[in-house]
Amino acid sequence: MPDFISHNISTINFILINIALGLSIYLTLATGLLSLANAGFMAIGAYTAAIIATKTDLPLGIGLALAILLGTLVALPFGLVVLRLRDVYLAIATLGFGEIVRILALNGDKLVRGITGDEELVIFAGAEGITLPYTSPEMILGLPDTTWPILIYDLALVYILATLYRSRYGRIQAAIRLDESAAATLGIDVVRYKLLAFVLGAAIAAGAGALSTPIVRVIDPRNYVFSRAVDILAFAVLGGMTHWVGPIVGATMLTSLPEVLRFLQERRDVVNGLIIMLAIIYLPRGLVDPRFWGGWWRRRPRLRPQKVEGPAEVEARPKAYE
Amino acid sequence: MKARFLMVFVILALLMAGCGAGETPTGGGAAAPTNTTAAGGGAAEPTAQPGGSGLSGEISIGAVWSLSGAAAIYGPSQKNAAELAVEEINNSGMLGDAKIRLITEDDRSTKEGAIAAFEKLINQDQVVAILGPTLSNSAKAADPIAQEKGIVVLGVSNTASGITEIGNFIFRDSLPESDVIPNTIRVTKEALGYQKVAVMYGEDDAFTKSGYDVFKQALEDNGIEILTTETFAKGDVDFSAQLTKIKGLNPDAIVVSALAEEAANIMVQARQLGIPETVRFIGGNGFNSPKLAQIAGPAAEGAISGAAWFIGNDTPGNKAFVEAYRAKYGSDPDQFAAQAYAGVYILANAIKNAGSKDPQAIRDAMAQIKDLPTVLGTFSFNENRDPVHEPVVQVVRNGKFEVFTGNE
Amino acid sequence: MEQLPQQLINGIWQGAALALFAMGYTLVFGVLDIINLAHGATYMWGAFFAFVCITRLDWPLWAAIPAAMIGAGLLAVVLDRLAFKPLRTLTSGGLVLWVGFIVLLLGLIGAWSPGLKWTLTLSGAAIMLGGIVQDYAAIRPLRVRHVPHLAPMISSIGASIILISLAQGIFGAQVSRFPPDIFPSKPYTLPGNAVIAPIQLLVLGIALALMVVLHLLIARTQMGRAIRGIAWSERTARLLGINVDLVVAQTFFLSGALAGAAGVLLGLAFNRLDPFMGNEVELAGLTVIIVGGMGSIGGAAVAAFLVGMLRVLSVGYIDSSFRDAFVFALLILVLLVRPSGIFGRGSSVRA
Repeated sequence: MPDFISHNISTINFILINIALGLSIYLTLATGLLSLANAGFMAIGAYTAAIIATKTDLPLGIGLALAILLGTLVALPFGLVVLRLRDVYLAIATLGFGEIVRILALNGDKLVRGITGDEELVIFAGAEGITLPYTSPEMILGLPDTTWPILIYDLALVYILATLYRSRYGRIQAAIRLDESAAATLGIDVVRYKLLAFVLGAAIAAGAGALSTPIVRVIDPRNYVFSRAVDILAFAVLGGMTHWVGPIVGATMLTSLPEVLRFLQERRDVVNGLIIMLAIIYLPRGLVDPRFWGGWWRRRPRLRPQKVEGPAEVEARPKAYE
Repeated sequence: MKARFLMVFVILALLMAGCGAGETPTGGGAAAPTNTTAAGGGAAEPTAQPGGSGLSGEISIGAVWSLSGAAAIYGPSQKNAAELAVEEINNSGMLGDAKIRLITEDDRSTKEGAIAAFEKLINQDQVVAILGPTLSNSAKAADPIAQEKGIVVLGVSNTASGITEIGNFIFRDSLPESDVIPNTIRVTKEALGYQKVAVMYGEDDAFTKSGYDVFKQALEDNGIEILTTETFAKGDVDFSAQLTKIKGLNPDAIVVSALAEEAANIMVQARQLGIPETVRFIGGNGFNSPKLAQIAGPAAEGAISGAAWFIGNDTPGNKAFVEAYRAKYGSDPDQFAAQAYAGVYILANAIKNAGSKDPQAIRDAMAQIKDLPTVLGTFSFNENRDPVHEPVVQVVRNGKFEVFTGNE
Repeated sequence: MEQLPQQLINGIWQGAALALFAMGYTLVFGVLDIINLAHGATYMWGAFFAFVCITRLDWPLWAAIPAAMIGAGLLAVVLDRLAFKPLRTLTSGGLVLWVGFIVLLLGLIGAWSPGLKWTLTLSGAAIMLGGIVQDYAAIRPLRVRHVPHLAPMISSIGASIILISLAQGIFGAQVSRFPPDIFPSKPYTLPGNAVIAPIQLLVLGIALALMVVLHLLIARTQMGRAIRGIAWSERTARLLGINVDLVVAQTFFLSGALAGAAGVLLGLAFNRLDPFMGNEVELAGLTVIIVGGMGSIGGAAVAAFLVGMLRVLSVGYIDSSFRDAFVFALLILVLLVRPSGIFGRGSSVRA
């Protein structure tokens, strides 16, 4: 096991980052919103942390905090204006947002130079991106010190999301996803909860971006193109978007898959595409579907006598979708 | 609360175990490096073997190319050329009884892919050296892993700055733009006497962007006025808006930092828009591909490219290489292919000189390489492990690159 | 200002190219409410179909274009059966089709001996054909499904990845081009010292002609009426005796054929064929169909010229670095001000 970890540490790191990204899109999907802006928010977070790391001596923690703060500050006004769009239109508006963020990062120096008038200033470094110095990772309790922050971040996210899932918020979320207008007539402030999900998702993605910087080390706009948004979406789609375990399973599978499929060489993409298609067509609720696993769960003794509480129960009704 | 945390840990542990279980069968003894030694015919033994040249069995060399994804245009010719070189070396008995085993990995044109590929090659295949990766930014992300483990990396297409600075195990045989472009500007300005130019570059590609930075510096150093700087994105096909603007400014020449595919379209559209043929196109390494003249046809006539390698070079073995490549793959090699081909030979020479499979010994032998005849020319590494050989300035004439002589 | 006439021509030309690409895109969007993100891949395959016809089979251009349109049209129909139809109704034929598809892919990507490879590929194709026939003959589906709205979009992303990867395997990632002398390239000079190439005029003409034809087809024919019926309400159309399955297949065929025509013509005009050529127009095309309004052919045309002009003028007069940022800003702006697009008529009346 220790050998396995040290030999595959970067794959494990990427799995952990992708879990956080998957959880960030899960929040919006579980509220019935398809947002493709998460790659953009990830870029915001990563650039913030990378600039803090290269231009100041502040620790990663400060970078993380600033990244989350900035992600939230951008997501709030943007969410306020776009969240009244429905499904496909929202997806496209957020896709446009992601592309704009990428273009701004690419031309960040041009903008900063225009504002400050300093022609020699290099902050974003365009397509070459920001390169962080490599420091040999120190092993703490069998894991490198670059892995711990992202692991702790993931655990914290899981704790928060699991708590939310079991709370009143989780049920409101499911109610909005299942029938927005019915939820509104029940007195739920739909816009507020949608915005909450969107902003939380953005903050999580920004945080994940910040924590990815010591691992990827080269922060350039190509990391955050449209296909990244699609990858993030695929984590939640394969894993399932009605329970927080879904994106974890999805991210783990899809991130390790290219490594497992190495023998296919450059045709790995075919299998990737196939898995996305098969998952959405034959498992439209993902691998982790409370409705499916719920039955199995309930047969076991001891568990959750008060199961009426969980949103999992809401799904058990036949008209779960649409 | 405690129970919940425990559950999370159990799930995470299960996930890790799960992906481990999935990986083992493909790795061929992935989790047990000791097995690899036996299976790989002693390939992995990192210590020097005693006696004579001391080389026998298989020597595993890794190669990381971009075979899928956005950079998949370059990867395949690198892969082809490296395989050709390995085949030649193994057939010629250059390394005595030893044979090179080339293990090629695809990095999907991403940094994540390159990092994972390096990790796999070093930990599972226990290679003694790695060629690649294709992209400079991937090299910046992945090379430190090899540096830390003490594995030689030879970049064969990384031209950006800050690659060999990563550490003393990182080499490259690709002339950085800063060696090629100033020379090109100096030579062509002397011959053509242009005073004001328009600049175009692909801004979302690290290679063309860093090429632009060097061009800008070189133009300023030579006192040439830059009328306008226009950008485009990778994969763009229509450059008419930028070129119309440039046409209105009447430049003496147009400096383009782009890959051959985009440059070809720029040339075709420029001539179509009526930019006269006396306005030359000047570019760097990116132009140096048979694709340029193939796609642009007559519009490429007179285009000038500073480059590290020239298909008609009379360097040792170059003619044989071009013919062998043509015979095997049915197309002309480009500069990416030539540099990958030369890279394998440089590495093989270092292994031969080191007389061992010990990465440290190979590294030391690499650093010693001096005046080695290669298809790129007489090749040496300088003290920064960067390549030293003569760059060329070439011009497209009758659909083929020829050496630029100045008497046009 | 002296560059203005040429820049206007450039803008019109970019608009025509985008319009050609976006027509088939917006058709499927309008009828089935599906954003088919594999449209770009269909476009790319259309271009390569013609490329194979011309370079390997030595066909003339005028024969290769219809062949590419038919090829891309059929590809789009198969794509619908694979990626979208199972999301509407699950049929036994659909399952057979999928089995065939997986066998086909196994044959194409696996490292088999040539004999086995061909056996797998061909038997996969045969099973797929059987699946489509069975699907068509079947009367009752196994299950009618209600999936989330975003499911077709995600499914088409998967299909697009597969199609691009297969093209890369077959044709390589390098840029190919049609033979240079296949079409005259000497540009015409217009007043204002502007120039336009013959192929650009041809694309402009074909784009306008196809738009008119498509509009008439939808507004005036029986088939168009059926398409509009389904766009209005699939259930009502079914009750009225419209063979929904057939009409959906026809819609996809049309959409694919238009993509194929666009692929060949733009591949010809830009001298460039590569597996990723669809990705480059995909996002601009998406902007066009959203700005134009769901399923509105005329709207897409106007939006295409608008986006083309915006791209050209932002390069010509502002800064080429921010060209795409302007396009996406327009997209978001239109979505916010008028989510149904400039020519959209609300969500109930479409196509």
